[in-house]
Amino acid sequence: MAGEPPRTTVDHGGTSPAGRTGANGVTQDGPMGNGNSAAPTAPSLDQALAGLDALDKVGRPAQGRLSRRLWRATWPKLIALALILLIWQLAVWAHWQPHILQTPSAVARQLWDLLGTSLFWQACWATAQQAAFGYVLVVIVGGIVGTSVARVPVLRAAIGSLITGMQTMPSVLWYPLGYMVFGQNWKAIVLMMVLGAAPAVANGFISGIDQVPPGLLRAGRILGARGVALERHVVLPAAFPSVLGGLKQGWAFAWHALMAGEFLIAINPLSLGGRTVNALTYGDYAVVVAMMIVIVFIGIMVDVAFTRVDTSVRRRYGLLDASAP
Amino acid sequence: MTSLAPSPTLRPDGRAPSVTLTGVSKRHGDAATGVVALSDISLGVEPGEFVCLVGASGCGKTTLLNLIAGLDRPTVGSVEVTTVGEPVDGEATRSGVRLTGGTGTAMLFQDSALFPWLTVAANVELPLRLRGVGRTERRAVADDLLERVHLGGFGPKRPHELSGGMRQRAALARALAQDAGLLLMDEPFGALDAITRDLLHDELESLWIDRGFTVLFVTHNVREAARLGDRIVLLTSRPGRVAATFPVDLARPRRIDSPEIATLAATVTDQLRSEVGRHGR
Repeated sequence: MAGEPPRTTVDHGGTSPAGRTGANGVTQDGPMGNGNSAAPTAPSLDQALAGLDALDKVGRPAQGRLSRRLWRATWPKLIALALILLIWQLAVWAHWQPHILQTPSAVARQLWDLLGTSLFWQACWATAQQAAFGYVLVVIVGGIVGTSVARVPVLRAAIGSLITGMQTMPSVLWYPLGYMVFGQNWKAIVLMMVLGAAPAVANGFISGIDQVPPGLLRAGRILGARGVALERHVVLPAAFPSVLGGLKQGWAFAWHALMAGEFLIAINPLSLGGRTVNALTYGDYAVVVAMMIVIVFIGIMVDVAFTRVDTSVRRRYGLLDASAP
Repeated sequence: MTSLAPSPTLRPDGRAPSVTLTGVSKRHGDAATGVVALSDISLGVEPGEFVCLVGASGCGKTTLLNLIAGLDRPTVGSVEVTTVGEPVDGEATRSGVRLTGGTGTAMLFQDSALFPWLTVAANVELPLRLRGVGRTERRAVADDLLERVHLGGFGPKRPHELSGGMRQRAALARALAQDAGLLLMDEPFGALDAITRDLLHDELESLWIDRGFTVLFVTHNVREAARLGDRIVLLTSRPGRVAATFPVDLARPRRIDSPEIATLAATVTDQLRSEVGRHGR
């Protein structure tokens, strides 16, 4: 909770006519007063404004202690996790697919061993590099296409609906194209990522720029922002929440494409996907499940990070209900 | 109409421009299907004068302000904003705020139009930043201006954390940071409660006396116009034309609840109603 800022009253050296509200002395003790004053003299403009500002102040409702909030957010997740583990364990006890399905504890042990190997961390590093490179490219391509389409009417008429259409296409569909162009190569995966995820980023830019309030544009022009300065100081910041939404969605699609690519192409046995496919080939099912858990965990973590940034941006922009968590 | 005292002597400081509209018409759209927003408006505003434009819906007030601000061009006629003296860098005003060579036109809107991604202080600094004023000086000017509108200490806040009245004062500080000689106001207090509006009238009047800029103030509120203006210009609707002009020869400071203002407001309201009534027939 932000504290109340210090409030200063200013003396304008007597030259300003401030402070003559109700100088005629005809006043009532009322809404303009500082609360407790029942004095028959009217407050100065300074006092009256300060009193009004104090009355207008809306504080965010108290959120309670951090530990309490953490607990409230955590226990439903713990129960969900426990239920999943229980169903899993029950399936094992029921001898459902006995040769394949391992107990949760066996997988946990496997996961623990895995975390101790340098090979695992190499796989994480390889995948992270590929993810970062591909995602940066996704953002660059999506950003350029999005801003151009939003700004050039001909371009919008030409490919606007194509972008929306591409967004609904599963990135796996780009695999044949990537394979034909680049062969069994990491570049094919990058192509899948860009074609699969850039449309989502582009759409974030397009809707963000489309929805810049005209009043803010007008204000920006009046304040002297023209051309590039208008884009830099008004259009892009105003579009930012929507752009961020596009970036988040773009990440999800890029991650899907990356995983699909690593599973399908498997040229890099050191990547997370490659390791999983290898484990599957050797019938090492505990490792497969352990890797799945790792991949899901990474996905969730990045999503949580995006959501946190999104929430803090919305809060700063005043787009969030004050009582929201 | 009662006249208590002559209006205060105008003190144009050489930077407040005059505004001259000559036979201005504005049509939105093409000649066949377009809508005529303004028709043959001629209007002169003296340097440092406070002119209130009053009109019902459809009087083309936003179009008119856009034309004067240079955001739009008239279909016919000419708009001239003329400054006699040149702005002097570093000249100090009576409020102690240093001038930084600003020119042009400032505007205040009904919904403050503060940028939500900037703090209040950064909003006030923006026009200075766009002019290339250095960080330290920007900060000092913004602090001074926020103090001037009684928002000292609120600089680090975000606009959405302020009340409507505080936002309008912040927007006023941002407009002052432009250091423009001409201030256009598009129903700036229309969305505020009466108590806040009253106080902001005092605030605006004091700033105007202090800094001597030219003001064109659009409002639906006849009393507000009588409270603030040196002159009230009544506009017709669809298309907007100048119907009548009322000088406000009342001493300042004024009170919105004074009988003189009530009398004047009644006169203006009668004429406004007869103008509006023509559309019902």
